[in-house]
Amino acid sequence: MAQELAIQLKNLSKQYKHITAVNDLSLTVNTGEIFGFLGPNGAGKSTTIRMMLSLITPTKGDVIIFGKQLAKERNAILANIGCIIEKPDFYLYLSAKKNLELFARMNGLRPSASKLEEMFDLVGLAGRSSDSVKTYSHGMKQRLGLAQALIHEPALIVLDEPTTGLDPQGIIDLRNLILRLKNEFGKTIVLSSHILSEMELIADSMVIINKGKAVVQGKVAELLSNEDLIVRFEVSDTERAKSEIGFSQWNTFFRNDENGRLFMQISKDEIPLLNSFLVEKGVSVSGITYQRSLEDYFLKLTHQV
Amino acid sequence: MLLQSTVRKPLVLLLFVLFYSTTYAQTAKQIIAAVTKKFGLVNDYSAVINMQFDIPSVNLQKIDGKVFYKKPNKFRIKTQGIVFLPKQNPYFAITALSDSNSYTAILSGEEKINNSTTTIINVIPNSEGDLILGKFWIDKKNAVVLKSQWTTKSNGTIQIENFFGTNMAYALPDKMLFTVDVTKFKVPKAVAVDINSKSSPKSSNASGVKGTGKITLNFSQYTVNKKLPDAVFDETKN
Amino acid sequence: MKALFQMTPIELFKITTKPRSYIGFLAITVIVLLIEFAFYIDGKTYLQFIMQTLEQSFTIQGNILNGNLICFIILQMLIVQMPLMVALVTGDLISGEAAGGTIRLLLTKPVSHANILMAKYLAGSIYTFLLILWLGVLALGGGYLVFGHGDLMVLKSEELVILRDGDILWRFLGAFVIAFLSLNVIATFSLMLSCFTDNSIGPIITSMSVIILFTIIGTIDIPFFDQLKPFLFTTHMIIWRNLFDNPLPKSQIITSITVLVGHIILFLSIAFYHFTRKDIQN
Repeated sequence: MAQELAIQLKNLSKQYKHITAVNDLSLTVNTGEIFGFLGPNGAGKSTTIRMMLSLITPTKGDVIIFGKQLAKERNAILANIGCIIEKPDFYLYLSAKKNLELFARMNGLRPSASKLEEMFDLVGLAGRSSDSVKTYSHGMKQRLGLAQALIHEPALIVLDEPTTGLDPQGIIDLRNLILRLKNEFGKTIVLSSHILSEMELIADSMVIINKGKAVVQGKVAELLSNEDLIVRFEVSDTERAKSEIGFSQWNTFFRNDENGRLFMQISKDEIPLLNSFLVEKGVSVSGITYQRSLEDYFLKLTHQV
Repeated sequence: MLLQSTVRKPLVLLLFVLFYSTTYAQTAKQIIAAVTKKFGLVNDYSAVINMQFDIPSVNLQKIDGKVFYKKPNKFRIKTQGIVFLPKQNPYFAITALSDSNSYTAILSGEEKINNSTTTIINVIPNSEGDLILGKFWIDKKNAVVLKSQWTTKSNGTIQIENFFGTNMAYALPDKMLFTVDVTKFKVPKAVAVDINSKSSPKSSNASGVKGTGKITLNFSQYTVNKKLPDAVFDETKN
Repeated sequence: MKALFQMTPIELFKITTKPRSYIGFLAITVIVLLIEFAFYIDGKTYLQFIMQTLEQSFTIQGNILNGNLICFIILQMLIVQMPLMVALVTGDLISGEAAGGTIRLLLTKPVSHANILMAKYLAGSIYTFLLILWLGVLALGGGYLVFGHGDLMVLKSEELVILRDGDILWRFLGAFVIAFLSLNVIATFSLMLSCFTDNSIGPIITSMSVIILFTIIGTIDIPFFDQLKPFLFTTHMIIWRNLFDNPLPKSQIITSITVLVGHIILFLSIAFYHFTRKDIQN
């Protein structure tokens, strides 16, 4: 059975005087999935997301959300969307609770005190709801932004660059919350980011856009599984590891070493193989991490490498 | 003889003129005496008053009030609002005339006012004071002043016209019309703050000839000689 | 319509939470109390100065220094300041949201742009109304309390109009209504400017500059400027004074009210046109 579409963008374009911000972009987002919207700064992500939320009027094309045309049924569509656009800005002179209440009322709700506290619990701001937003850190505002996006229990959540400015723990917390929203509450989530590895960890599908056009679109697992990663091996003896690699077929994948770490360019499948090889050669491996570079991936996609 | 006759003629003429004027001067004072005597019948009175104003550059709506008078010179107009009154009370003149030694009165002819023949008497104070000249138009038959005109040092010329009706017996008019010299009113723009206004007076009340203001007092419901207490003249009490 | 009822109290609440919203109330309180205090101490001297030419010819009897006169003088003095107080709040209604970034959240709520703008206009109008009401309470109520009732002596550069006490209250009510309309022109003007920019200083300064410019044009007696005057809204903003003329210049008042309402509609229409088509890019 075909999955129901949450979002359809049809030939969407936005033309400013001399700049084409979005150029004939078409994509689909399935309900219940986490969809990654990727691209370098200035690629047109933000413009596209804003067009999806009626903040920017498209020059051409259609935005269809849950089967309804945004241009015709804006309010009905927006009632079912929660979002954070760019940075989470609030009325600084009000408390977090009052802010949340105001935005809920703009959605036509009158949330009870317990409902508000429940939201603060969900986003990890319990006990801070009465504080003025002025005293909030960026991370706390981001959490409040999420609470604001969720208070009216929308089916679609749009988060524009949600990890910007967050500390590592904040990023992990946000990632877990997003996964929870999808898995427990069945929400459809659209995320935009310029960090590919971030998407790889949570997104089900993604689109990469550049210069307002879709470069690639599909399931994350299919798009990225065979792509080379930069894998970092934390080893007990760097010199020995380098020498063993230098005399093996792995030599061509060696990139560099730094402070007891080896950086190898291999695919995800090859990680356990290289790990076994090093262990067999008596080099103990204490940690393996990997990252993808969107820039490299772009270059590859556009055949410039 | 010729000389005698030529000298005698002017002498007789002079004596005649002197005799004539003295005779008529006494008559003028007599006329005035009749007027003051008649007015002297009034010890006090109160009346309902309606005042109307026609003063250049002053737009003042008419107002009702009460008026009180008590011999010799107590006068008060009591209203709920702002009124412009002549500097002198309306009986200032008649009170001043009660002392017949303080002025010289000269008959100056006759004039018809509202179908009544009036005798014109000019009054010149004997001693120097604020008053320079007074002129009365007196209805001898009724012993009332129909019109008077006063020239003072401090307030220019004031003219009072009296219109009598039901209270002729007490020489109390139903209507008094004051005509007063007025300096044109001007407020500095900074105080007025009507920056965009056109500088032409618009109201009908202010359309009178510039330089003279008119105040009309209409009297009704006179109550005469009922022993008014002095307290009603206390300006500090409402 | 439901959305409008839903949004207007929210917008009004936002106004009440901003410190700048109280500047107007504070300024009115200080100015009114100061004027009342000054007149209480030395009002008679001030009036003697004005009345001296007339007092040469007349004895002026009655309570000249009364609540009605005080209120009238206060209205005259505050008419210059109140547009600033209003623009300070209404010039920030849209641009403040843009500057603070909250416009992004605001415009992604299921309320149309038109309703949001209308709610902001209504909230700004209610604020303006409250400002006028406060002025009325302080100036007229305070005036009556301290100086009592009495006929109103309206000071004009060429004429002195004295209105009877019983004939004044309706004129003040009318004056407050016209003052409200005038300030509403400022409110819509600054709200309109507020739609075009992302900072609130711009609309406030521009509103004030326009008022100052128009007032200067209105004051200078040059034939060319005279032709312009009927088209300047500032010319019609002081029409409240005409309510204190006797007889009432009805056609002039109706013309001015029409011009003021026309300006409100014009400025609102421009604001609607721009705001409903505005792309939010910040």
